[in-house]
Amino acid sequence: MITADDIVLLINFIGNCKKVEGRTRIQKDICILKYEDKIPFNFDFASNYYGPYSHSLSETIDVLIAADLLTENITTLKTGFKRYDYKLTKAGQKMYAANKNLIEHDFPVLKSKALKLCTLTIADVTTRAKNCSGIPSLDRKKAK
Amino acid sequence: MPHWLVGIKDEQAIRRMISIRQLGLKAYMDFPGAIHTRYSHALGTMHLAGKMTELLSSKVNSKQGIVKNLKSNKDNIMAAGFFHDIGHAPFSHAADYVMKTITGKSHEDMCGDILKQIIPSEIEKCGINKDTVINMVNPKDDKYQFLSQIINSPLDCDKLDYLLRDAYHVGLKYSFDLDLFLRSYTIIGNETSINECILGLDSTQQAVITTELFVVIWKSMYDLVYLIQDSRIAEKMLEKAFLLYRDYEEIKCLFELQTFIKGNDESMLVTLRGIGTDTQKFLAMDNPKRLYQVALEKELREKDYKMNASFMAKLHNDVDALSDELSIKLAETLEKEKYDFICDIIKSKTPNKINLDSSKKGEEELRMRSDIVRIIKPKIVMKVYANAEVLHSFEKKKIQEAIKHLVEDYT
Repeated sequence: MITADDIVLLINFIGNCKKVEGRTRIQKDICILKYEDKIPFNFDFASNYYGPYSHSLSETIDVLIAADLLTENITTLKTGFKRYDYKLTKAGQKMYAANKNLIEHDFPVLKSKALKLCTLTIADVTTRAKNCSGIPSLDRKKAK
Repeated sequence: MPHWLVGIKDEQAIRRMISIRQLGLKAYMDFPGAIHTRYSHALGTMHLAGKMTELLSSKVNSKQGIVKNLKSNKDNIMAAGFFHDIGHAPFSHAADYVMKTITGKSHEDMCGDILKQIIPSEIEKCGINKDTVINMVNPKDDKYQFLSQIINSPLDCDKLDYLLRDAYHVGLKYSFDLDLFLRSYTIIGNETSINECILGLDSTQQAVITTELFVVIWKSMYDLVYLIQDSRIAEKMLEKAFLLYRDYEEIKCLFELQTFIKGNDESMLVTLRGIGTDTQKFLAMDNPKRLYQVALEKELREKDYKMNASFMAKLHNDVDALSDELSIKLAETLEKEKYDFICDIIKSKTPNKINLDSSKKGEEELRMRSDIVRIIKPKIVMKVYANAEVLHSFEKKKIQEAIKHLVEDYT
């Protein structure tokens, strides 16, 4: 079950990053913020071959796109792969601005953590997400 | 019929599926020829679950641990295919929200209750593990993460069966080469641990094109059949009849396990009709002239509705509860009787994540390869239906304004 805070925090994260490059990256970034940095996101993550993934986060992104708060643009990489990049729309930026001060007050580390994540490569964030503790299936694997 | 099913096939909970139409109210409204039942769908899904298990086993013969796991669970996987919808109430999707409201249970939870409490344990002597089956249908433990994807995922055997079966019975000549499609299924992941594997597709041109065809049929079936307007309105009206009388013993009793396993389409309607004349106005299948009319149909987008975070969270968590809440508030705002207006928020279906097996190059999704899949964008539509007499006495603009306030002031 997600809450209004999840929506506001997610918008704040994307707003701080300006652009999030890729569906995989947004998954891994939010996972790191939740499990490593203890930002209280309610998205459930499960571990699979490609690292932690949250279906509820993916669905929330779809809701934000449908509501015109977020845009999804496709970038074709040199490898020929297509990447989905996420940016706030004008309406999304308004929501970001309206809640910015409150979020910075309640979660003073979120902005710096978000900006730091933006500088890492996709391989780095994937490795970090795979090493997070607190995801039930990942913890069991490590225990073995 | 597999040996484990022979001994229990006459159980009432199983026979009941013969008198529940697979398409629910749609078979009474828009598609009277669609007389196929939950039972035929259960058999079809079971068959495909077995076939998929065999094909996957033969495909990954180098991954011994996985093959062993799949082969030893073949009967459990087939049983999960057979039982996956046994917990649906009659008129399934029209009754899902009602069942959740009255019992707090989803149809997957109800399936677990039926398997645990009703299906005889002699099934376990035939090699079926009830807990494994329940976990495949309603995974609470990620130990069953991979096996449950055969039953419930974007590529599951449930979807393969219902799309082809429903299309055939409603008269749409949609089809794709099922065998060719299944041959492109594969297991992606670590061969030492099935729990970390995912069900995916070969990264070939053939697999991508076949899947595009499948996705187009899936999308079309939602637009032309599953969400077809008159049936959808009739389903929402039926839902409201149940909700209005949900405190009546007769209604509550329908969802108690011992009664539930005897209930079918007809018995449910008889109960509703028996409650009194008030329910009649919601039973459009008895008299289509009662069908509510569309008073409003508009996409929920920022340019028309300033949605706040609470509204969007509720939209994500429980769209049926949100629609019901708005229906009640709209009638209050416009000073009409409860459910004279019915709000219906419809989130369009977009294909969930389908992975292609290109592990050497990193994670690859079908969306990254397919222009057709890429253009299917999420969309949320707000619809309001109203009793014809009520609608006659209202300006549609007034309804639009009231809805706008309810959405924008949502807390």
